[in-house]
This record gives sequence, C-alpha cells and structure tokens, in this order.
Amino acid sequence: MAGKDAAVEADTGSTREFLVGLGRAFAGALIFSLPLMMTMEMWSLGVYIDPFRIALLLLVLLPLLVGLSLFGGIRKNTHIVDDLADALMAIAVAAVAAIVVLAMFAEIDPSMSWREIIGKIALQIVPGSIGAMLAQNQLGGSAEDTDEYGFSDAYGGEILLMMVGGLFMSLNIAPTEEIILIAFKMSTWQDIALAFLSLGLMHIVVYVVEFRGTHAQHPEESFFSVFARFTVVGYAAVLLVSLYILWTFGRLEGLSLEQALSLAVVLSFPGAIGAALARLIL
Amino acid sequence: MARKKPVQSRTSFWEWGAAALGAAILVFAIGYMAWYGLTHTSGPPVIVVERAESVRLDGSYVVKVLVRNKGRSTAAAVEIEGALKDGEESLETSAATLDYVPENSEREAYLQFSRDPDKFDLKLRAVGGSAP
Repeated sequence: MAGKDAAVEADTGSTREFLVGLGRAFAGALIFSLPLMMTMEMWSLGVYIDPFRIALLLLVLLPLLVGLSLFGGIRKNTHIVDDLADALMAIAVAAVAAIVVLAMFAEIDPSMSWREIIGKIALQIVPGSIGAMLAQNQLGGSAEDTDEYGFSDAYGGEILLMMVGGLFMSLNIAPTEEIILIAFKMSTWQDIALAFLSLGLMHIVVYVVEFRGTHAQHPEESFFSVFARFTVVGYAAVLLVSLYILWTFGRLEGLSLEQALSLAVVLSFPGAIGAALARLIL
Repeated sequence: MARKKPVQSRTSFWEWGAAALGAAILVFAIGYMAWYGLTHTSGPPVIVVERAESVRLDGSYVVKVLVRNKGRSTAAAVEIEGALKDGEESLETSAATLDYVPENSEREAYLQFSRDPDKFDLKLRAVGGSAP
C-alpha cells in the first residue's frame, strides 16, 4: 500500500508539473504571437500565400523547436524524444492559443473556407510555438548541467539561437508594408551602410557591451576570430532567415535581385539586433 | 532526496498527450496545405455578389450583400457596386470596397440607398479588384 501511495504522489506531482509547464507555455505563446495575431497583414498572408510555402514553414519549424530544446533550456533532457515531445507540445499550445484568440477577434469563423482558417492559424503557430518552447524551457525551474545562463556553449547551439532571435524579430516586421516602403526608398549605398551598421551593432551588443546572458569574449580569443566565427556567421544566418521569411510571405515576387537584397538587408537590421540579444530576450 | 534519478524519459503521460495533439495538428496542417496546393490550380478570382436582407433606417435603405469568391485565388481591394434602376434609367448607385475576399470564402458588405430598393431593380456587380 505504501508503495502505491508513493506512486500516486509521484503521479500527482508530475501532473502538477505538467499543468505549470502548460501554463507557462501558453503565456510564452501569447507574448510571442499576440502582436502578430493583431497584425492585419498576418491574416491576409495566411489566406493568399502559396500553401506549399506554409507547409514548408511548418516542416522547418519542428527541427527548429527540437534544436531550441536541445541547445537551450533548463530541463536537460536525457532523450531526444523528450525534446521532440516538448516541441510538439509547444505546437499544440500555440495552435490552441491561435484558435482561441483569432476566433475571439472574429478573424476565423465558420463562413470562412478551411483554407483560410488553417492558413491563418498555421502562420501564428510559428511565433507562438517558439514562445511556448522558450517559456517551458526558461521561465522558472532550476538549472542542471547548463552554464549559468541556461544554455550550453555549443557553437551550433549559439548560431541556432541567433537564428531564432533573428527569426522572431523578422517575423514581427516582415508582414508589414513598411518594410517594402523603407527598402524602396533606400539607395544602394544606404543598403550597404545598413548592412555594416547591423554587423557592427551585433558585434558590440554581443561581445563588447556584455549584457547579462550574452557571450563574453574569452581573453584568449582574438577580435578577428570572434568577429568571423560569431558575428559574421550570425549575420549571414540572419540574412538567410530574412530571405526565407520574405520568400515565404511572397514578398520577393517580381523583384529584381538588387531590390530583394535591399529588402533582406532592411529586415536583417532588426533581425541582427534580435540575434544579438537572443540570449537576453529568448 | 539524495537519490540519483534513473536515466529515463521524463516526459509524463499528460505531456505525451499534448505532444500527440501537437503532432496531429502539425501533420493535419502540413497535409492539408500540401493537398490544397496539389489539387487546386491557380487562376483568377471570380467574385459573385448576392443580395441579402435590407433594413430601412431614418429614411435611407441599407442592403446587406454577400460577396463570394468562387475563383482560384484571393482578390484584394474588391469594389462592389449596386445600381438602382427604373427600367433603363439609373436612379442611384452605391459602392463598397472589401480589403480581401479569399477564395471559397464569403464576406459581407453594405450598400446604402435613399430609395427603397424593393421598389426598383437592384443590379449588383463586382467592379474589380487587385491581386494581393
């Protein structure tokens, strides 16, 4: 009997833990996706962008979330299946949050086609699940086997984290019309200057100013080594993420290479700041 | 508790339930989008305008119209026009613009007239729109 009681106790303990985790996940999903759920362009993008690109975005999302769970996170999972479970749970939480909020905003209702409803929800799952994932991993709890910031120091993990930080900022800005207007108004020289400014700011924020949670430069690492390995690679990753998001949203259609790059550079500016501060905001 | 935890999956039963739901949502959304992309050829939007109920208020008449897109792509900035006609003579026109009418979806618009639309011939049409 005593053994059974202990088992029940352990079970209610894990149920409580699950509910707390679920609550955190919803909070994270909402804080990351609410700005986008209240952005008009996101509703229409869900409707008219290529269904294959929406499907691909969701396909890419899963390994990204698993990667976040692997490299970030308080909970040090012993099995990759636990990371997968965390990622899938984040997707479920983000989808439920999107359905509830969009239905309340009258942005999804039964008169709409399935294509419209699923498209709108699918796009919101992306920021929502990233938020849910990070909240499950980051808020509260105790750290074991991670460094003092809760992240492992693996190089791949660092670049992945920068990409997610860039993705989060880019996602918030890419749907807006303003990004196109800004890019069209800027001259090529301003584009180039903005790219250098992004690189410089990124490096300063991460390695010079040393915000809490950012990567401090080890004394034995030369400036050039850190700049080349982290800042340049990070910026390139952000640029690619920006191009991918712009392509997904159909923003590159009919543009010349110069205009497309200009858009990507403009979007990568907030993306670079997001990447640099990824450890702080994520 | 100094006891060392055994190395095992620490995902609880409930969490697996939520994960299964997430997997189902992901598979469904990806599958639906891929299926939709494969089975729906793209083409121009086709806007169909239908009259619904009308209301009289303070001497003017408001006609609710249902705007459906039966075409193969989303139409943006869709302009709807209603003309009240007495035979060949056009008495008055009213217009409305809808931001988006997605394919296979329905939107509502309102047209306002000073004459009773039930007493005359109300001609509804979609003037045009843009690709989003």
